[in-house]
Amino acid sequence: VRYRYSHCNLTGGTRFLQLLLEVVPGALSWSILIGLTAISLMRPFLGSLLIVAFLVYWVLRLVYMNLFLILAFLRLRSERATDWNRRLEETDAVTAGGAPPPRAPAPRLGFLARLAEKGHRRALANLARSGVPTPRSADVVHLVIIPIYSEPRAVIEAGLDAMTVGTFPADRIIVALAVEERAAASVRREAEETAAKFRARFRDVLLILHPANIEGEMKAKGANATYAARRSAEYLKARGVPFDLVVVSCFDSDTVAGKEYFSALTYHFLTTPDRLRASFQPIPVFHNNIWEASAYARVLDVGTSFFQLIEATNPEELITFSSHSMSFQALVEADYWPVDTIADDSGIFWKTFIHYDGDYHVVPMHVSVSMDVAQGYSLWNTLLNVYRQKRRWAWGVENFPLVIRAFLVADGIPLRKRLRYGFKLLERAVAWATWPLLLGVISWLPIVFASRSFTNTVVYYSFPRIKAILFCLASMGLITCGILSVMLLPREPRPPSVLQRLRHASEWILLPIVGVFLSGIPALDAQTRLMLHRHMGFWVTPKQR
Amino acid sequence: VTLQSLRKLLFRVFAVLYFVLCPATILYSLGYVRGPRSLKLVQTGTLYVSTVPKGANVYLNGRRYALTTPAAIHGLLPGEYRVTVGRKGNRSWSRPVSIAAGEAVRIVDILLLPDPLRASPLADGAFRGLLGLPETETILAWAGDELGALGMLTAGAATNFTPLVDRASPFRDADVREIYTVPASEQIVLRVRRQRGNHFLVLDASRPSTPPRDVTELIRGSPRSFLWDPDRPEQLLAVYEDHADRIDTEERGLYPRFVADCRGIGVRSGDVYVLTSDHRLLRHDLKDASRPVSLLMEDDRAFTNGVFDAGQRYRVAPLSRRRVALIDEDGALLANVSPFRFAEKGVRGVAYLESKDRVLVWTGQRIGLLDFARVAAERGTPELRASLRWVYSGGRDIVRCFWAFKGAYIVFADRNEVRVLRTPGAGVDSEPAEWALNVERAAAVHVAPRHAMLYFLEEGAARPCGVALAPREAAPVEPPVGETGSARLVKAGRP
Repeated sequence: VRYRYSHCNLTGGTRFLQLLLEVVPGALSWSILIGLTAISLMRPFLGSLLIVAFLVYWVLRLVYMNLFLILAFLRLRSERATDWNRRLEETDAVTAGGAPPPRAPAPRLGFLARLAEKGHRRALANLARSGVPTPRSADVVHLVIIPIYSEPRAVIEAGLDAMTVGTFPADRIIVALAVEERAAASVRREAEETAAKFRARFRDVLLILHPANIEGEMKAKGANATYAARRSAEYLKARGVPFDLVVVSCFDSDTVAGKEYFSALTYHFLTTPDRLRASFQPIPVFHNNIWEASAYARVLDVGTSFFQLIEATNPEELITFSSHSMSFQALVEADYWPVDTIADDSGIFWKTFIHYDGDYHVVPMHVSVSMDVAQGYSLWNTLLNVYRQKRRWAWGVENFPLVIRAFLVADGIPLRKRLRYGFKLLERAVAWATWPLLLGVISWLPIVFASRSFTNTVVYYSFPRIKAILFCLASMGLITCGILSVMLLPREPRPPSVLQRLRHASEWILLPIVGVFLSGIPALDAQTRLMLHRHMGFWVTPKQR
Repeated sequence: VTLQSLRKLLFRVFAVLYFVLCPATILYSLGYVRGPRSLKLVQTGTLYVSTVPKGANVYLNGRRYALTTPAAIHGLLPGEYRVTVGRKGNRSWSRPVSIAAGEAVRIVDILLLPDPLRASPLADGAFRGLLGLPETETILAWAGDELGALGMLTAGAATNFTPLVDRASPFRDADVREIYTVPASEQIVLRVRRQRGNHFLVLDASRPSTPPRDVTELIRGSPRSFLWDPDRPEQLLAVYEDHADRIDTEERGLYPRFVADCRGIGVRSGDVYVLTSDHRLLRHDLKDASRPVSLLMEDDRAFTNGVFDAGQRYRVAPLSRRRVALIDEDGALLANVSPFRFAEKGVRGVAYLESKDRVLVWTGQRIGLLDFARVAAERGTPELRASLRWVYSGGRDIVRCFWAFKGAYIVFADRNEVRVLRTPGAGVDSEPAEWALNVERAAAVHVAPRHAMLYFLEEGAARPCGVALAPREAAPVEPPVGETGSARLVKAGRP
């Protein structure tokens, strides 16, 4: 489909449709919140029954998500000891036309590792069955784009250091430091020094200065990354590197890839038969500064990791988030990241999905990349930073009108797929903005403001009991999260103490309050801005070391 | 099985679960349960019971439930039940209730009087009178007519009785003829007789050691009563037949005929409320009578022409800044709220409960509640109306009535008996008033508002005594929702 993925410079009916669709998520969220509040106050009997119906749905959904969280966590665990380079060798053997190597005698492998091994065998068999020409792992080149605006040198260099000590040869990694021209001179100078320092340790380190005020662009990470990708394309073309052998990763500046990340990425790239129509999504964890961060910010970010873990169990509907990777050829063909939106991470998925008529998907990788938890110089500043960061994430709702507009004209995308993705986009946005407020505030209204006539009904007495039982069931989910979050804690530089683990697990008790103020309200804020057509600018989360 | 296929399978399972569990939960919240002898669904009712003090056992038709009060008993089949609550050390309470499908019967704040009701003597010897200062915790008692025999009672203190004047006071032997009090004030004004002359003394009853202030020289003739504002007790109004003088006891100033030409006068929160001879109802500042405000907003004529009896004087009881109740000498009850006239005769007193905007009214035989509500008017804004509902009519000679437990109960003294009446809700029949104890004199009964302490003179011995009608920490509240739960039948038994 030829479609311009942008909300700017639209005319006529397209502009009207865009404006109309921008209203939908916010209007729906506000209608639910105001409607249920009004019903709870004016018709508490009906309000209680509606809330019961919602709570049953919520608890079942929570149980369902918890099941998959546990499964996904086990899946992540199962790959912890994987030797990805050995797998690459085996993949190369298959792609060279040979049979899959014999099953390795691994009597000491645990249950989870055996499961992972089984998955690997299945992937090789699929690859062999597909008959698709597959490059050798040694031919794959990685391009890592790191957009920089104000991040201190230490933050960038921590990520580069991690890449150089990884299991994947650094001489097949090209790093593009994408520096904003409008950044402070000190930032530009530091970037030059970093490039010089690391140039010899990678195949190359490109320092690309993104000019300010390019027409059609907004001040956003996507525009910077796109400019860097275009310059990198020229670089690769000049050196005769085929784009279909290049895997591009767009990392946030604070991203620290695990040692195995690029080996695992190469493996997933090679074993995915339609590798040029796929993005590769690692599990983001927020471990860089986990012990320095505030408890409430930590809980939220661990929750984000868990959400991505759950999503990873459903590749059919997985969407890229934060640091991600994809074929450079697909990036070029889809015309790079959106340059006038904030949510470039999910935006690039939708762009390519629409470009390839729905023939595009995300492959979950059960390896992690680590990032920073949002922080500030004071409690209030941290709260503000966390709020802004979550609002920016929630601003991903800007994709809704853009995607739906495309879906209305993209006849090449199967209707079922369009409906499923469209519903998911809307449902997720509305749930994000309304659930915390429904659970934390509105569900109490029928009882708190009960009229005399309502207190004379059975529902007035049964509603709190049912609610207490459902909340009690839901708290089991919190306990699961607490346990898993402890198990997910980084063991380096040293394993966390018992006290740290206990503290970390108990922080989940903050979730009901944090959920309302630092998740639900920022999301509602973002949707309201979109509804009022007041588009947000890109706000860079301050990073510290 | 891949994660993806497992996910699809579980999605379907959970979708089915929701469509089963959601209606089932909603039906359950509506009170539907499986019938006792069949699979058919029947809708049940709920009974909510709370007591003062809490922790009482609940019995339905003689069978005890596991929960103690406050308790919500769910799943009751529609029908008639006898509910009984009993607690060790307290009197039990019982009454029939009718449970309807889908409805909850709320019986809140049942007062379980201690059993036995043990009173503590507050002073030794026989006393002749006891007077609680209205809406305060201060109790006066006297063993004789002379001022030296008048003192303050302190519950629980080592020295319970403290004379109001010390031995050196020149008024110690004066006969006390009148004690004037106003609600919520611990100041009293006394008319005493000494050496064949009347003296008027002002005392602070909460500070017995302070010498009384003699204001006799500021008083002209014999006032019918004295009024003052509890927040400005130095400003006294000496009320006469058709006027009132203002007296500043601190500056020792007299303002003759500060209020003139009146048939009734009251004081509240720094304002004076006056019913004039031509039946205008006015309000003005306690220190400035030059700018009166009329309190008759609507239908003045109906109020001024139809409701007053000629030649009557009125006790004026200001309820709020705009609302006044009046009682004439025959006991007719009026208020400046439509329909203005509520009782024709026999009303002995009123007590206003601000938190519930409700007035307690009593005659010798009956107790009533005067409630205010806005009702839709034919045009304009809703009209404020009042209605008097008699809730008790078995009295023989009711002398005193008190609100207790924030208006949940009424305590009254009827001849030599003190009884307790549960304040009935709107549209609910009154319960019988429960006998609490016998006293020496109905006039010598007082209920301290904060903790429902009952003070009285012991029957026979005439000793001043005090008794708590409920533990101090127990105060009736609305049903605490968080404490409701299902009740389990544990065993058969009697309370």
